[in-house]
Order: sequence, then C-alpha cells, then structure tokens
Amino acid sequence: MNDGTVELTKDHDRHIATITIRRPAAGNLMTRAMATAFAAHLADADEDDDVKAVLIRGEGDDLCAGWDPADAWEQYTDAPGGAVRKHPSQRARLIALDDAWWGRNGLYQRLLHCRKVTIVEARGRCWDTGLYLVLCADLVVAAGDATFGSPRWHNVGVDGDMSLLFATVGLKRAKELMYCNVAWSAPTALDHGLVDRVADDAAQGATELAAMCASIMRDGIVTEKYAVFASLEKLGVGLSFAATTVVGASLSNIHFQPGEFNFLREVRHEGAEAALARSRADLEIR
Amino acid sequence: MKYGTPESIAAAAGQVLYEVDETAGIAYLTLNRPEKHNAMSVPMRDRIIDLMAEAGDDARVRVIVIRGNGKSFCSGNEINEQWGQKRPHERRRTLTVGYRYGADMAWGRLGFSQAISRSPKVTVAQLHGYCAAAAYFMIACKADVVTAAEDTRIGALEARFLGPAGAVASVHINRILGMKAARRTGFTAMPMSGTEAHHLGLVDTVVPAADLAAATGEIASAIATRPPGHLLYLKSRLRAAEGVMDTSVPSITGLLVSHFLQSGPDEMDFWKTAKAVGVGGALDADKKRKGAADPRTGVTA
Amino acid sequence: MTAVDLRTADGRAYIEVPSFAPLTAHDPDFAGRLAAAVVEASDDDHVKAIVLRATGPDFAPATPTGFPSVAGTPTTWHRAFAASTAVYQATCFAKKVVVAEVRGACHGAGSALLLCADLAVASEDAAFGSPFLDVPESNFVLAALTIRLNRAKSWLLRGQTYTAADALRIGLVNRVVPTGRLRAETERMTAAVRGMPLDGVTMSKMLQQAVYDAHGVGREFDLADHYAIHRAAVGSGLAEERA
Repeated sequence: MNDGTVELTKDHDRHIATITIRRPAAGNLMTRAMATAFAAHLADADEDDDVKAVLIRGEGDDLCAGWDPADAWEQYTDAPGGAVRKHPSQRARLIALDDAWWGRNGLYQRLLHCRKVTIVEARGRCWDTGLYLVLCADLVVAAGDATFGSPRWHNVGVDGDMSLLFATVGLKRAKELMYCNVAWSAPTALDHGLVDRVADDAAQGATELAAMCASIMRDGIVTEKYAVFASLEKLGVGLSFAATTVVGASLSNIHFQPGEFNFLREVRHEGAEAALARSRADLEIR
Repeated sequence: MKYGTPESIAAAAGQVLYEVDETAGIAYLTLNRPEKHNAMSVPMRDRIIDLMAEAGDDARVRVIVIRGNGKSFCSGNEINEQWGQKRPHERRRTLTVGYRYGADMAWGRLGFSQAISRSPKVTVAQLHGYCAAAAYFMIACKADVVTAAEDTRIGALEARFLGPAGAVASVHINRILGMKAARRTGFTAMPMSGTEAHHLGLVDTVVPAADLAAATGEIASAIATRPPGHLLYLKSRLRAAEGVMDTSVPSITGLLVSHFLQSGPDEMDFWKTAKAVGVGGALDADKKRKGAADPRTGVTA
Repeated sequence: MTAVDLRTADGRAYIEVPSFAPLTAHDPDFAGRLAAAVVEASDDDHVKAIVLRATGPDFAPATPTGFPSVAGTPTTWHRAFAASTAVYQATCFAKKVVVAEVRGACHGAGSALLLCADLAVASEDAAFGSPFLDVPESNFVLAALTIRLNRAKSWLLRGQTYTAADALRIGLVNRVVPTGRLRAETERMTAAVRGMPLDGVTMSKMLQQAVYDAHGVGREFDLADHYAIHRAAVGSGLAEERA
C-alpha cells in the first residue's frame, strides 16, 4: 500500500499554495518518501514571493491517520550504519528520524520553520503524524468530524513532540493525550486551544482564514516568521525536538513485558494494517 | 531628552491623568485623549513611564489601575505622529529615535512595556472599546491582572498593514494565550472579544461594560488589602519565575518592523494612503481588499 | 505521626494519607515519608501509575503553615521541601505517571502537589486554593504551563479559590465526577496507563523531564530557597494580616 503522493498547487492570484496529502485509501498514512516530498514543497513555497500562505490538507476523509509503520523499519536499515548487523544501529535510527522527521530538514521542522503562514484543514483522523502537522502549523480549521491524538504513544510510549503540545494546550490536557489513550473531538480541541475554528465546511473555513492571512503584507509575514523562529528557541522547542529524536530512536527497540501488547512484533507478524487496527481498537474519543 | 513637539509635550499632562486613592492604596493612571481613542503619543508614553516610576516609589500605593476615558481603553500608538510623516523636529528618523520609541518601547529592556511589566506594584489593566496594537501587547499583555468589558475588541489590529510586529513571536503572549491564539491574533489581525480573551486566559474577569469599573475596583481593593510586604514578596516571585520561563521577546524583531518594512506593488501603502485620505480613509481602503478583516466590525461578546 | 500508606495492585501504586495538610504545615517527617513512598512506587517494576489519595473528606484542608525562621530555611526545610530528593521534585519527576485524586478542599501544599502530578481527577465538591500565598516551594512555572500564564499570575496575586468546574475549564484537572464515582474514574484513567508498555512509560517520563527543563520547571524548583528566605524575612505579612 506504499503508493502515496504529496502534491503542491499554487494560486498566485490569491497568494495561496496548497499542499495535498494523497493516499486516501490508507487514511493518508505518511511514509518517509511522502514526508520528503512534503518538505520539498514547503521549500518551494518558501522560495516563491507570490505565496503568502500555505494550505495543508488531505484527500479523502482524513488529514493523516498516522505514520506508516510498514515504512518505519526500512528507513532505519536504509540509513548509514543501518544494515551492518541484523538490527539497525542506534546511529542509523537517530539519523533516519532526524533526516525525515525531527531534524532541521525533516518534515516537522520544515513546517515549523516555513516562512509563510501555514494553515491546516483538519478533517477526520489527525493522528500521530497528523497531530504533529496540526501542532507545527500556524493555524488550524477543523471539520466537525476531526479527531486529534496520537494512539501510537499508547503502544510504544511518547516518541513525539511535547514542547509544542505543552505550550498549546497546557500540561494536564497534554498528558491526557500522552497517557490516557484518548483522542479529542473537534469541539474539545477547540476548547483546549489546539485548533482555531470548527467549521461545517472546513475547506471553505481554511480558505477564508488563508485569504485573511494573505491580506497581510509580505514583509510583515516573513519578518514575523523569523521572529517566531527566535522565540521558538526561547520556548525550548529546539531542545525538545532534539530530545524527541533520541527518545524516538530508543523507543524503536524497547522490550515488552509479558502480557504487554507488543506493537513492533505485531507489525512484523501481522502486517502494518492489522497491527495499526488492533493497536487503535481501544482509543477513546472525548 | 524628551521627544515630541512643544504642543504634544504640553498636552501630555492632560492626556494621561494620575490620582492616588490613599485610603484604598490604589493609584489610577487614566488615558484621557478620548477624541483619538486614547492613542498614545510619544510624550504620553514618556509620561506613563514617569508615572509608573512614581507609583512604584510611593509607599501608599499597592495596586496600579490603568484605564481609559471615553469610548476605548486605547487604540495603540499615535501613528500619524510616529510613523506616517516626518516630524518637524527631525529631518529624517534616525535609529536612535526609532529604536527608543519603536523597537525598544515595545520589546526592549529600557522601554515603555518594561515600565509596566517590571513594576514592583501589582498592575491591573481595565479594558473596554478598542484595546489595539501597542495597547494590546504593551499594556494588556504586560499587566498582572486584566479586566474587560464583554464587547472589548482586543488584538493586533494593525497587523495587516504594519505586520504583526512581534504579536506572534512574543513568548509572553504565547504563554498567555497559547500558541495557536497568538498566531491567530497576529496573522489574521482579527480582534478577539473580552469574552474570548477570558476564555483564552488573557482576561481574569469579564463583565458587561456598565459593571466594569465596579468589578475592577473590587479586585484592586481586595489585592490592596493584603499586607504590603506580602505583595512585594509575591511580585518579586513573579518576576523571578518569568525570568526562569524566559518570557521576554526577541527584541530585535521590532527594529525590522518599525523601520524597514515595505509594501509590495500589489499591497496597499498604508502611510501614503493615510497621508492622502487620513487614517480612517486608509482603513476603509484596506477593508475593500481581498480577504481582509475589518478591525472595526463587531465581535461576538 | 501521620500515616503514609503505600500499596500496589494491578499495575498501580496507591499512596494514601488522611490528608496532605501536613505538607502545608511543613512537617518534615511527613514530607520525607511521602517522598520515600513516591520513590519506592516509582522504582517498582509492577507499577505504571501512582495514585495520590486522601482517605479523609478533604485532600488538603487549610492549615497554618508552621513556617521556620530565615536561619532554618536552608537546612531541614530545604531537605524536606526544596531538595531534588524532596517530595515535590520526587513527584514531578517520578518515572511513572502520577495521578492526583482530589475530593473536598485542596489548599496550600495540596495545590502545590497537584501541580506536580501528571493527571488529576476531582470530585464535584473539590475546591482549589492558591498554593502561592503561603507555600513558597510551590512551582509557579508548572502553574503557568498548566493553566496559562495570566491565570497563574492571577491565582498568585488574588489568591482566589477555584471551584471544581473552574478547575476543569482552565485545565487544572482532567475530570470532574460526583464524589461517589471518584475512585472508579481514577481506576478508569489509570487502566489506560496500565495498557502502555512499562519501558514506554519510563521513556516518556524521561522525555517529559527534558522538556520540563527546557521550559524552566527545574530552574524554578531551584529558586525555592530564595523564595522561602524572602517570605520568612517579610513574615509573608500573614501575622500582620491576622491582626
């Protein structure tokens, strides 16, 4: 099912670029290749002076239902030092997570450091990778059916960003997502400050918000984004992302106790799709 | 050295009123330029700095209430004076002047907003009408306790033609509103109502406009009845903790914003337009542009 | 001597005391035994979640602070309340997920402890007083990160008491339920934690500690001695207030 693409279109008249995740049959599960294409599109929008705002959306029912676990192991073995022994080295795991996801050229940092205003149209599942897209973008318009969470954390531990999550929704609410196997409905996410608006027509709502942002002068947008990059350092986000990479690499080879659901073995034996479905069966939407 | 014209310097004393209620232990700093929504001239800001120092030194004062006469709390800095045209006393604006009244005023260590955020006394901001631009990020977001009328219009309403000017980047504002709302106010220039600002956590107490003065007075009086030594202890705790959280703003931001931003050929040159048809006319012209949100439209209270 | 009871069952550790008020009274012996219980539960491989529970009607009723002199602050007081091994940091940086179960009044150190817990369940009759007026070791950064900066400032300066509904609205607690359902809700919430892999819980808490430090939580804990000495020096004005 490794057939996803990420596409970029641009409307220079309205100064809005649109990045669309296209893998609807699989809930837009994100692979490393898709993340790399996504980051390249962000770089393209950054370079284009006639783009002021970047809209991010998914084709089909979901923004993005997560990170494709089928792809996860391969990215480690492909990284430098990844295929020397039977199991990928720790350096390979670190390098893979850094390059494609958390490092300075990875998807999340590229999104966080985009020079233009970034707006997510959040529909359906916004889980794992989908949640990080929501956190790293500037603004979020949610459809009524959108849900936000990281069920992956329940199965292996919290291997994603905490700093943006803490600064966006507060400590105790963040920990409900981290430790309680909970995803938030759109109204809950709105109440907790994770999204800006809930709209019947999320596409229209996101487009309206993007138009509002695109009415701001270019110099104003880009200078403010650079100021934001400075303030992200003061908020501890850089340190947090670096720590996340280390913890993510470590969590990729944890041991499970007798009786614990072994997500990684389940992926190897039953395939990614079945493992994901089973691991998410008890997720509670609040 | 005081900047400003002889007229604007002379007017400042009547434009920022100051009185101390000795019995209650409360100082009132009242913006009094209602015909301009209490827009702050450079001499007015200088006077606020002086008055904050005076209240800080005054042993009778435990709480400082900052409020506005007329329809609005404050619409921000006086833009015609500072930005729109060259002032009579300077042939061209130098960085010395601009830094002091632009970047440093807003975010720097020596500026106007520090006079409020670093006061040893408890500060209370009482918002109604407009609380826009500098009044939003230099007063409302720097005060200790904020009260507001439900239909107050709060935000970086100038962002569309001046840029967000640090309203998104301020770590302080991110910690007050959460990261998304900080971005929303800066990148869309939409106002938030007093009710919304209460939901987000900027505003401590929100009431109908008619009840605002009484509600603020009650809060200020209750705080002022605490023992002065205890209040000074609590305030110094706050300053230390905010230092630990590093809530200050990368002050270099304001420098770019206040001096060097240019509008593109397809973007409205706000200053040129304002010079030709006045600030109100420029706002009208701006409203007609694609996607723009008019800051003067009503908010949902 | 106030009892501190620790028992474990089904992947949870329950730390039960009559109330947490002795922390507000600055009873160093109670604080020491509470910290030891948290560390023991945290080290136990059979435990993924730690529940802090008062068996009495109130989590932490208001009580005089019993605060020491300026001279006494850096010694016994420091060891029991401000040191990295003391109860607040032991709780805040525990290797397992800590859940506060709050019923009735939660004042002074009760609220300081609540801020150190990861999650909180409260009964409808719970009331949350400010920890900042008379508990100098309480962590303001945790409050600002939990309920946002201005709400934390207002809690510190106005010293108001939040109702359970307010606490839920501002994110100070995760769930509010009728008193009769309090324990069941704690079980439900900790059952989710129990479903995580043990190593995953510990690793998450390690990452959490790093992110806390990036946000200033540890640095604020380190300032507790300064706050306490300042407060002792001005007598916090509380005697003056009573007069």
